[in-house]
Amino acid sequence: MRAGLVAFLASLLLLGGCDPTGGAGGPRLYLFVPSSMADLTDAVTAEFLRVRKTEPIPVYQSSAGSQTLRIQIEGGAPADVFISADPEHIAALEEAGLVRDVRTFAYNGLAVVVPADNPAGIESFWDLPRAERLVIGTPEVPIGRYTRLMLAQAAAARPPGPGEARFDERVMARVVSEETNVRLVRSKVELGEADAAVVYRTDALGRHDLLMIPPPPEADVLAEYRVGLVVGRSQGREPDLVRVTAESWIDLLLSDAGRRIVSAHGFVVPR
Amino acid sequence: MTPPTSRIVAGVGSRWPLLILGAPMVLLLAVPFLALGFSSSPADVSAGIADPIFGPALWLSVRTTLVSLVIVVLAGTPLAWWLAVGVPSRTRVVEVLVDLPIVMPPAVVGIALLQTFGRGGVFGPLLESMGVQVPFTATAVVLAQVVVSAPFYVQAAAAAFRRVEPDLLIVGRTLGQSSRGAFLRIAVPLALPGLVGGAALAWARALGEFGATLLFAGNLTGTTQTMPLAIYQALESDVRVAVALSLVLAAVSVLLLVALRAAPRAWGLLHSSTLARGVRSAGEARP
Repeated sequence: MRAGLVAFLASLLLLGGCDPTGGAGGPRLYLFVPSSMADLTDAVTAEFLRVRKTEPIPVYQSSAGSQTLRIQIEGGAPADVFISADPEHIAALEEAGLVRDVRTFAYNGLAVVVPADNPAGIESFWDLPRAERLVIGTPEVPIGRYTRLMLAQAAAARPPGPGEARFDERVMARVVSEETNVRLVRSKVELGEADAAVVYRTDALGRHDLLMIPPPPEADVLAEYRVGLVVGRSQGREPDLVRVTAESWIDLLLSDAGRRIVSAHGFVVPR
Repeated sequence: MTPPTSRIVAGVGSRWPLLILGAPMVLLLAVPFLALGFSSSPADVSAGIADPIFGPALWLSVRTTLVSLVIVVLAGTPLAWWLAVGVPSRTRVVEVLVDLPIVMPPAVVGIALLQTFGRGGVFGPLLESMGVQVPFTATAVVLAQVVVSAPFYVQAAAAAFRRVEPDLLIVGRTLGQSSRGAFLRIAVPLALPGLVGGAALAWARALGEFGATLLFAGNLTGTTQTMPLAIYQALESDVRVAVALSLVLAAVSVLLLVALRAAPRAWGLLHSSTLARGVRSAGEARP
């Protein structure tokens, strides 16, 4: 019995060590970023730590679909900076009073990606219905919403011939899976399991295992990234210090140096 | 079984400390499910049930888990019998293989299935040449369920078969039963409580399967989106749907659990007569 009690107490101690908001540790920064931007924000954080005059601070980055991050913040997750891949999810948090100082800092386009060996023979955007297996995002994740918008615009630009189904309907009939973030969408093509997928243009850059097919201008969609300061989630950390640190990270992102990093990763910066 | 155990504990001392130490665990295990039951109003639940992803997910889960249960029982029962009566030096290796999916994280199972049946997988080119697609189909859902749930059935069934008195089988054989007859008429009825329990456990595990399905079968309403996947997606749009789906899954699981507890007793009442019939019919078959 005593041994069991000791083991129980020991496991509690171990748990204490895992507490992410843990008391004894100093300040730290939590970034909640969309999957499509994880590499970019890593680079911004590296620059942030490099130029920082004071002692280094641990920065934790959580990347997922913007809708997932939003739900996590609504549920009380420790977050200091939130970036959303569409205006909708960050606006919801702003209205709820959980995020403030929301600003647009990057744009992105969409792209169809196919495996390098292109098994379905998709040469142009309009070949998309040829894909036997197409993977897109769920309606909730920004990439999924943008994809549906792109398909609807394409269908409007090219009305179907007599007896033919609309372009977006023919494409949606080829969807075999809906994923909750854009990197999961892309992975299905990288694994060679999907014939095609719709991702952001930046997700297709510098990938030798993928071929990128941009949509025609009349169908393209401009994805808008917004950053905001999360309020009231300092959870035991010094609130003012957290706010100042988070603000300085955002300031770097919006600075000229930050803009250079943003465009180096293939995103479009606002004028 | 129970009374002697209790007497031993009673002899050692009071049982109250055990209960006090165990109570937090019981609360931790039970309170979340009570909370789930109380968290939503009937209006929320009916709104959830009316959602377009609810019906297809429920129907797909029912269909796929029933198919996987049939596969598990048909293929698992002979395997379990072999594990129970086989030479231990041979069965030991197979037993470890059968247990593998229990210790594997479901995500690992999903990737492994993809590397087996996917386009780039071991059987990919063969399946492709036959025009068969496995990933992103209901077949993939069933395969994932079979892999993760079969070990639970095979283990339970093998344990039940091991408890069958070998003498009874020998008696059956001397009374003229073929080895198949001895298996079907004596071993199976005697082991039935264990078989039913294992099948219920396997079914419950298949019903809850999430990780391997998500990776291997993908997520598409009506085709591969089972209840757990629908819960995952609904959390991102309408929490009421997620709660309604959770409540239905929880209710089904509780029913399974009750059946699991009640079934052995019910079979226990039945099996003595079944066994007698089995031995008697063996006697009649004797020339």
